[in-house]
Amino acid sequence: MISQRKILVVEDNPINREMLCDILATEYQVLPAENGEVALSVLKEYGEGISLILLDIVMPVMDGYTFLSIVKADSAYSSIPIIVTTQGDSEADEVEALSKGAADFVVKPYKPRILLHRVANFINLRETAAMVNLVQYDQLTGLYGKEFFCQKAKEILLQHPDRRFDIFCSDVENFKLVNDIFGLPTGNRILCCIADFYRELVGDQGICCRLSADQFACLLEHREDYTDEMFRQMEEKINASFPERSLMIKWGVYEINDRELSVDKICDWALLAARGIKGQYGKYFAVYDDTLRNRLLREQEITDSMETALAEEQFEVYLQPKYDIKSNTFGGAEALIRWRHPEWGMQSPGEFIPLFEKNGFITKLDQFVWEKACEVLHKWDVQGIHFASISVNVSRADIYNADLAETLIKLVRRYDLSPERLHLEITESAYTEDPKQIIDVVEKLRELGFIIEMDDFGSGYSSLNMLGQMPIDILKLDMKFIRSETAKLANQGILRFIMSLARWMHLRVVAEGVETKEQLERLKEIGCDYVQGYYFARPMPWREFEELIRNAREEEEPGGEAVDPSWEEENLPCLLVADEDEEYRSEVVRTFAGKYRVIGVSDCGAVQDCVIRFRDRIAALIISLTLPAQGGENAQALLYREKMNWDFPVIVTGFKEEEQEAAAFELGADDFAGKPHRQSSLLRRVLRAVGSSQSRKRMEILEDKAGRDCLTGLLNRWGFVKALELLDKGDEPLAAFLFDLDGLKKVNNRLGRLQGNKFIQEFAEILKYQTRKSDILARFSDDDFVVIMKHMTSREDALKKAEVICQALEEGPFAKIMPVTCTGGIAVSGTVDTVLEMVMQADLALRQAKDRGEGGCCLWEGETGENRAEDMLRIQHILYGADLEKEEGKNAEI
Amino acid sequence: MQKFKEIFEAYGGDYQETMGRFLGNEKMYLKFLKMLFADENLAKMGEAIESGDMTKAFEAGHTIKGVSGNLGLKPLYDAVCDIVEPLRNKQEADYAGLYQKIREEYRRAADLRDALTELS
Repeated sequence: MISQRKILVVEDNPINREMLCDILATEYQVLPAENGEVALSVLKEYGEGISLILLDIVMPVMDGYTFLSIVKADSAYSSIPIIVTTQGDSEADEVEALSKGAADFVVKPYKPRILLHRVANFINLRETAAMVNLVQYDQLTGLYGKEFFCQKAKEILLQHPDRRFDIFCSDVENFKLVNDIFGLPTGNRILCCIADFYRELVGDQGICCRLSADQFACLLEHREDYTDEMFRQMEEKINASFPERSLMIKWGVYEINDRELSVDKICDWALLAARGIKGQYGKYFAVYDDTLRNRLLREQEITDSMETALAEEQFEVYLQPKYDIKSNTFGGAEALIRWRHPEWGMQSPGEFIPLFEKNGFITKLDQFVWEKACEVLHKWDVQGIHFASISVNVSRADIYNADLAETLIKLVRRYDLSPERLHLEITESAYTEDPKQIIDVVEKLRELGFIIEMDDFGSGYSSLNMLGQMPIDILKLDMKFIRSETAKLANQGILRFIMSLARWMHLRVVAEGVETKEQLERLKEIGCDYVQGYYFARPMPWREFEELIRNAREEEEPGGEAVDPSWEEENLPCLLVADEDEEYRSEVVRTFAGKYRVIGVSDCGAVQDCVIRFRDRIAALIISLTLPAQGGENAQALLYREKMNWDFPVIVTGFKEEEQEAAAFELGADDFAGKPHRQSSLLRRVLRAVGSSQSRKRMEILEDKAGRDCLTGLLNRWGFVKALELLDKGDEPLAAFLFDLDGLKKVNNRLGRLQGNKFIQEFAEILKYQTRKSDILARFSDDDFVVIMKHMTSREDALKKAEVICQALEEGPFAKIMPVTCTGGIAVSGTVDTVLEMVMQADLALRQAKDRGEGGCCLWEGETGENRAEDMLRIQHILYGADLEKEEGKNAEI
Repeated sequence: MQKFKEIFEAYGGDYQETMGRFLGNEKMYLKFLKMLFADENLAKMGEAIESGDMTKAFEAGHTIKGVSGNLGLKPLYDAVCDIVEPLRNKQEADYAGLYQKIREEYRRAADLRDALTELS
């Protein structure tokens, strides 16, 4: 290794030169040069590959001093150590050499051993320094590296105990995609742009670094006034230097209060805060605070206790029956997991399941459920209770377990069951993630005889073609995805579509989450096979379930109602009253009769149970601050821990004291009702809280990350369906516009995908500009856009609007790069109930417009209700999935 | 080999110190010693002194000083030192005499070369 290092010897006298060469040649590769000029050309050739320079001062052509000055002034070479050789008779020479940047000098006559040591020492020193630099600075961006930043930040914090600081970190969304699509050089260029931005941002007021990949951090003086607008501008600034595409950057801020914390940890937490808003359109930064901290601590608590919980059988398997609509008999059951913690009481699966999915524990829990389900089926077989099947969940993580099939087949054999008794539920979104692998695994399970159910159908983005390839027997549809009180007819269209799709693919359909008689009637009407939900029966412990089967069998009423008629009365939304005073509870029941189904509970544990049992049917909770504890947890502790997880409003009651009121709001109460109070005032409070909570939920749905197309910020198909649900009569008359960007493929092919995306974004901007904020704008697929405009009274106005939009594109900045057009189809005079039909009509009009040539607009002239089935299928196809070729050539939605 | 040391010390050099510089390699030493006589600096110095160019004379002397030092030619080195110092300070001195002394030492060094060459 050492012999590979190169030393440049600059010496005019051949004897001295060769002597030096001979001394050094034992350990180095020596490059001789007889004067400064020659030496510079050697330097140019080898650059930093030269480990050290030995330089004579008195030389013809270019003397040593000149050479020294040139080399030290050039950053490319300045780090190479230079040892000057002198006669040892002139101190002035030596001082001048050192002052010009020489590392050291050696005196003639040479002492070879000393010379070799000195040379070795300097080379070593330089290489160590270079290593330190490597760690200190990020090679790509030149910012500090993580370790050095942490060290530096620690020093600054120590030096300024009286000043407050924040650390903020940023994360680029889907940066890997940028690298994949645009290539590493582009990715690197972006990173350098971000680094430049950071450098400018902190100036000499702080320090910054590149933490890893696309994550950056900086330490700055604390400020209170962070706003989304501030960070949005920062994002804009970064994007300005990279016009090809728009990046989404999320920022996490951590205010340093505890100086004992390691900077490393602080960065982690700031990043966690940033990650928490991933995918949320319009949200640019998040501050790491107690809520986030508590959530993490809570997650840690759950993680710490999960193994014990499994060992101590705190997990219980509940069963919820499925009914066969036609025969009114049991069509099976779904196994659901419940966690009854000895101290915390009933735990919400909505909280722990996602966590277990994240930390991998879900596979253990799934296996526990599978085994329990088999055990129960076997027990019933032995007892002569014939029960068809139990559905169990198969998580994504299970599918990647190579032994899955073997585990399952061994299990059913152990309990003497045939595989079709165990239905395996796999969520739709699992299929879309890695279709090939999942299809292979599931195909195998199906061949073994297991029945495959696709869970949560409609929540993912299956395309029709993909659906055709998926090995499934049953589609499971969650009513919550299509439940709505305002746009029933639109939903009916979707339901009907899914049914016809299932028929066409020879699949059975289970509707879960059925809660109302109306829903049941509708499902019957359109020919759904099985239903499941609170309308019929809640999930219950398997022994209770056993009773249910026994009772049903005893009644033996062929064709009789399997449903307890009293359940129908319970169809109202629930109002949970948690109060120790029985009298008060009865008053509330009376006050809210006919409006809510009031459920009264008298301790904290019961609150938890009810929340899990009635899930999203709870409209509001009235809870007393003095509610008795159960298992050590009082009302305050319960609220403190759970409030964030509840999406219904909470009205806290307590003594009319300022302190109590303040405590209630601190805990996140939506309102406080001081006792004693009149029932009429309580009624007003509840109605107000429910009202504002609903409108908030609506907003959230619209802002839901899943509902936005990331490239344009418009709604995607799913968001569009959701938005339709929020339409009401007051928005009529409606107009539907469908636009097709002509020649996007051509743009992509000719100018590249980047320009294609620009084209798409430009059109989206035109749509935003040309419509009102309350209108619904969506990007359906690559080049299809749909707009629902409210209060569009005139056909002429609608047509004109479409033409203006098309014209704006034709005259827009993109058209200067390449001539582009878009074609529009319009349908007007729509009502909320016929909005889907309108979209269909607009689609037909669009096809007419296309027939006439690209770039024009056409208004639907036909009669309402004359749509053919195939058109219906076509539009629902647009709503529910594009075909495969399009999927592949799709412009990335990043 | 004992001979080399004797001849070298008889000439007036420090064998140990000098050969240490050449890693104990006598052959290598002889190679460099021979190069001394191909060097033009002696002639350059003579011309410079004759024409009174002190700077040029100093540069040549400086080089010879370094080389003779490296070669361990102590008598020559001393003679060069005697001329380099006044040259550096541009002092009045008997430069012709001092130069003559150097030329003599060159001849002695040449004798050393011949003796050592014969030996090998």
